[in-house]
Amino acid sequence: MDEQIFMMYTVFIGMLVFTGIAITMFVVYKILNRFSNFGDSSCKLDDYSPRAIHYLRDMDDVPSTEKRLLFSAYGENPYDGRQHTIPEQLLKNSKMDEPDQEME
Amino acid sequence: MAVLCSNCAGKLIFNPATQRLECATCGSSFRPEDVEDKNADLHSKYYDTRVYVCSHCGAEVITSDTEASSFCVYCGNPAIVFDRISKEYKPDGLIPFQVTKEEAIKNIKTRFLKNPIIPKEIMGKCVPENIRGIYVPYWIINADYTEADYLSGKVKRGKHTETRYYSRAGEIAVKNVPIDGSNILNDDISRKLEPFYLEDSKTFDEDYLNGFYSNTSDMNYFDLKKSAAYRCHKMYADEIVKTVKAKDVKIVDSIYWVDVHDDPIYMMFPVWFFTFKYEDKPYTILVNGQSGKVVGTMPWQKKRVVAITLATFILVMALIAVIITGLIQNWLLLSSIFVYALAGITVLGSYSFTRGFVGLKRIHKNLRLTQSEDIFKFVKKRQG
Repeated sequence: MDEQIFMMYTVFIGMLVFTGIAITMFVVYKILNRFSNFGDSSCKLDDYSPRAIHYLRDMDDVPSTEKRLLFSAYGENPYDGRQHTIPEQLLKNSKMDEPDQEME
Repeated sequence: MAVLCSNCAGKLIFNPATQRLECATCGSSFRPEDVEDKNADLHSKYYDTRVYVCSHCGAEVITSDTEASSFCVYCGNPAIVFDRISKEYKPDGLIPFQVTKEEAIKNIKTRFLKNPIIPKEIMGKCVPENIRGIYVPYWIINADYTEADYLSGKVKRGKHTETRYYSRAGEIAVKNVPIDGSNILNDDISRKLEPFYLEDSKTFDEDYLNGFYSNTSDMNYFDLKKSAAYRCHKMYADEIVKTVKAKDVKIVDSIYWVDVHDDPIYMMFPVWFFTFKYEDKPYTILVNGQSGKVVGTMPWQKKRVVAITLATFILVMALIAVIITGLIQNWLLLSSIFVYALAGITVLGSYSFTRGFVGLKRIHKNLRLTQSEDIFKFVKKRQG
């Protein structure tokens, strides 16, 4: 019985120490984030798109087979074959890269 | 090459405060669009630049001939040598510097005020000589984007927590997304400099470059598509996890495709670089030259952070000890409160640990990005 109580206390104290470490970690993170880490934000999708995402598939609580089905349905580039004009600066850089690729 | 003052033949420098070219010799000022460089061919696709190369990190820094380069703006090394005069493609446009060097210094120094952890000696390093204005190349793209994601999340079911899986696929068209066109700048840093407001952009005129450095885009079309896909994925992923009603949502696997539309626009955006060394490690803090946003992670005084950590730990443990003592002394009376306190402490501990651990990991990553040795490694990696 005594051993059981001792174990209970040990687990309890261990948990409290863990909580102490966790809270300390959180406080230190908050301090570093406030005083040392600047401008840690970036633009969101709606800053660059007037429309919302058009969902082609939206399923919750799916079975494990879904992963294979999902990636077989969307595994091919839907934009394949589209031709574009490429700016000269990018073409120039491609030519500069060519000797490196040959060396490789 | 730089144009000269029509009154005294002195060099003209662009002043972000007045948005005019000013002559340091006679004090005359001109609008950039009114100044004509007689040597320049207005219809040419090229403009002349002076290229300096850093022998430490391999970065190329380009200046007009009004500014002599004395150290590398990327890694802070003084081993920078004049390499050549080069003809570069003219960008389609640029956003002129709107934040002056003094304002950039002020914005950085504001962060030092009432700051208990940043070493005071860094404030002394925040002087005009250590700050350089660079026009960073960007590509402004319009694109179609498709992504499929397989996600996981934790849901409570009775007393137990279950992991469930979610399937999402979607498409979206994005407009005017800026993609950093320089392989030297890490995409994760340049992304944080946003937003840049394109309403203030001007047709490219090399007079705006007077007094600043610049960099040309060194990426090819494949690199652009790769960066565009990564940029869109980052934004899309942030949105998609919000659609799952569960806790601890993670993207298990994803696949994405981007189609960059015809003729992305080649632009130059203004950025101030504050480069300094602390404990033999180089750091680069950036300031958006249009909005004044400061980006970067400053080093901290280790002794002070350790002291704060220990003090917090002792304080938290003392509080817990007081609670335990109280509970043990009133065990029978407070047995029900004891159970609630235990449950509360467990929840608080788990929450604090998750948030604290993820947050500290993120700060450590940001610090590594700010230490420009990473830019050095990045350049070396690209150079093979």
